[in-house]
Amino acid sequence: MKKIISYLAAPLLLTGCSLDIPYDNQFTDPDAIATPENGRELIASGYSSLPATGFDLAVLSDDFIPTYWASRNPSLSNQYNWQPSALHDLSIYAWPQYYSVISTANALLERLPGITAATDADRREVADLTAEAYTLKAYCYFQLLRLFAADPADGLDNEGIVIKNSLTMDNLPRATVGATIDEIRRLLEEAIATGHSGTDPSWLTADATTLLLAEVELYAGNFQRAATLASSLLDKRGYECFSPSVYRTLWESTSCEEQIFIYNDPDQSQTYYQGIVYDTTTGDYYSVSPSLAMEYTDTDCRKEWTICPFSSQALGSQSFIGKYNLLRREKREIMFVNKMRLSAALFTAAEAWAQAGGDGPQKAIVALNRFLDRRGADPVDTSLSGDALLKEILHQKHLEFLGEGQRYFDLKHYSRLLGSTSGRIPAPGDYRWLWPIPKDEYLYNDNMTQNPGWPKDSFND
Amino acid sequence: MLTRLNLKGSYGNTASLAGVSAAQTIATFSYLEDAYATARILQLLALYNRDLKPEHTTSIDAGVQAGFFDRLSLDLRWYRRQTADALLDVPIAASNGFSMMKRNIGVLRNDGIEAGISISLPDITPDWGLRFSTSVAYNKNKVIDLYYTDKLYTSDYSLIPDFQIGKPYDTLYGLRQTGINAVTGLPIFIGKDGREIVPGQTQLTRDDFITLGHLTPPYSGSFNLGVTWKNLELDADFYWVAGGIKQYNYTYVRNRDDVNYNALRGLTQTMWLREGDVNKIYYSPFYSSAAIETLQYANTSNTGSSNYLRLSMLSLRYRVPQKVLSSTRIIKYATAALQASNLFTLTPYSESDPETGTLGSAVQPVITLNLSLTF
Repeated sequence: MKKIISYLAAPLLLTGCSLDIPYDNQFTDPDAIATPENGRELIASGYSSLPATGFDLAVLSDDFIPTYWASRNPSLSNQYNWQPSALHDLSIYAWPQYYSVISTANALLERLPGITAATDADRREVADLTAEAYTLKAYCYFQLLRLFAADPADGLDNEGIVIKNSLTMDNLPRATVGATIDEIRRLLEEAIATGHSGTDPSWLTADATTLLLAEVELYAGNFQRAATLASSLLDKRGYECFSPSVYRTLWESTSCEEQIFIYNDPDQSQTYYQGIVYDTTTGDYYSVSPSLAMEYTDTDCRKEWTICPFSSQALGSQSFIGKYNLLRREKREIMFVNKMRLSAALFTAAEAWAQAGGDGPQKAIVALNRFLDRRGADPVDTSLSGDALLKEILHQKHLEFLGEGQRYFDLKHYSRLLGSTSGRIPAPGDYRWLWPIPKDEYLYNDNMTQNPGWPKDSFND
Repeated sequence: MLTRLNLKGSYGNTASLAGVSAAQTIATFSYLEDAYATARILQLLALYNRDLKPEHTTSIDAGVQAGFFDRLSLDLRWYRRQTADALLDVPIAASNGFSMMKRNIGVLRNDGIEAGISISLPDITPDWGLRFSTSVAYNKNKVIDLYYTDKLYTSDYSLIPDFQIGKPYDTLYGLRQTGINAVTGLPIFIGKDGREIVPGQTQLTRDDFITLGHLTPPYSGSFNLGVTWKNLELDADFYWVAGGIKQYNYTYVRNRDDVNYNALRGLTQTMWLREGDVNKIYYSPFYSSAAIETLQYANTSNTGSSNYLRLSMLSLRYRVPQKVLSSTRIIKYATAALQASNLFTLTPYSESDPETGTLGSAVQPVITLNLSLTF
């Protein structure tokens, strides 16, 4: 009897105890993404990882001038002065972040066919997710292209960026600028064909896809198509979206009619624009130049949100940037960041019309003046044409998007037209307009090439 | 004379997925505590490797044991463990969306020999017995093959490959330090051809590095001494390793934020704090961020020999004699033992435990008293 019990008990003593139980909140394939809700949560991680480069791009552009405190922040001064080390630091942040978002979108696209969509609402959500994944990828490619590659006007065969279509480890070479633009266009057209039924600006809805496609077509030089797409958005939403009552809610609410896409992650948005503040009582490192600040007339509804007057003994009378900085000064939380809004559609249409020829310039002036009227600003001269008109449009765009990071892309795309306004911003063709490919890409990817003028370290042999 | 001869050999094949988590082989998603708009964030944890295979280890053992006069025994053993499809977390290009991935990198080999002598004299006198044994082992390792490269680097800053075909994979490379510069407070490193390396200014190249030593000690051994007297038995086991080197990873208190760490006694006396401080051991707490790259490498001053001698077990056992037990009638056997393990370690590695590098994970002495009764 004793022997039987001991023989039965022995195996229990022999089994090793391995407590490798996965956590409750970790899910593995297959069917990790089984419902549309899971899909939405996965794409949320992609949206949340979008890098916040607006402030850094604004510092690089001609939005700001240094104040008395600027010399106390050497790294920001390096960035302001376009030092290669600062651009290098920006690139090692931006490149991996954008590709992380792209890999999340690829992960979702692989798993969407496996989601069971039983009801109509589920089917709509799956379609929405598909369209958003395509648009999110296109959005990332477009930002990467504009930061790391040469303008299409310099040649479509120049090197673009890496096109990544699957969630596997690859060492891919850079596609050409032309191929990248084609890929972006293909993704956006697929998103439009799939259709999106939502209106929440936190996600990349149909309007965001349309606006992005309009911007890409403008970037590539297809003015007619860009103007058509952008003006369709303007017709859809209406010029009333530019009125002062709507503008007021643009910075405070996540459901403003002018918003097309906002980055709606309160935890991550908290620190946006923190870099400009030296001390909340004594001032900022950079302020808006007086000549720009003066352009906002008193009737302009944007003035109170864009310019914060400030005066102190050390600094004298200054105009600090408002918008997110204003929210922080008033000790209000920054809950979201505006990434795409209807004003961009207007300016895309105006730029496209101005360069399209025919009656385009006329349409551009009409649209622009309608917009400025809503904003409460002075209209532009109706006799402008050619380069002068384009410069005026870009100037008005500068005033609209001051401090948001849009100006950098205009300075780069129109660098020959706008010239180098000061010695600080590099001349057209300077190597610094193309950000360097980061080390953690080219060290492990033998097919990667570096942009001209930037060093390419290697593991010394 | 030769009373016994054993020849032993074995061959084994094992597979292991040690260190591989689910996330590295199959898509694994996890919720964050953050939310974007109205959705909780569900994140893909890692770039999973669909082709990941378990490590295969082939072990070959061969040994011979010879006994002489029933008292003395000599043994010699040779072993080789070759691991194919060795697993390692390697960095990958950023355009993949992630920075690291677990891959099968190549074939690694670990082999060594062991030699031992043991003398057993259980009955020198009817009351006394003696047992003594000692053994020495030598171990070496080598990279046999790497699958997709011939030099593998595991970080952006590696100047020397961490895995290279034909070389051992536990070598620690570093710089040669000759003191602290009294003016700048930074260490003075001597590099290739005797040139001085100034932290933060001189660009390091591969030839500036020297081999500091092996991270796994190649030599190890033990000796055991046992004495029996009547019903008492005293055993002592010593274990030693030699030939290895380890970097000191003690946190030096350099500013107010570090004061919660235990500082070494006399740290501030031996740390460079202002211009003109001479004969200091620890470098300045005020260094530029450009200097960090050079200061992070191992060097001759921040590594120490990890040799140690440890009294791993000391035990005193008493066997209750049969005469006493037979009077109780139910108890068949009874022993009482007092055992102490890891009583002390002698080592030149001055700052903490030579095996783990930190005080917190050092093995602690354990004393047990056990009593065993068989009914």
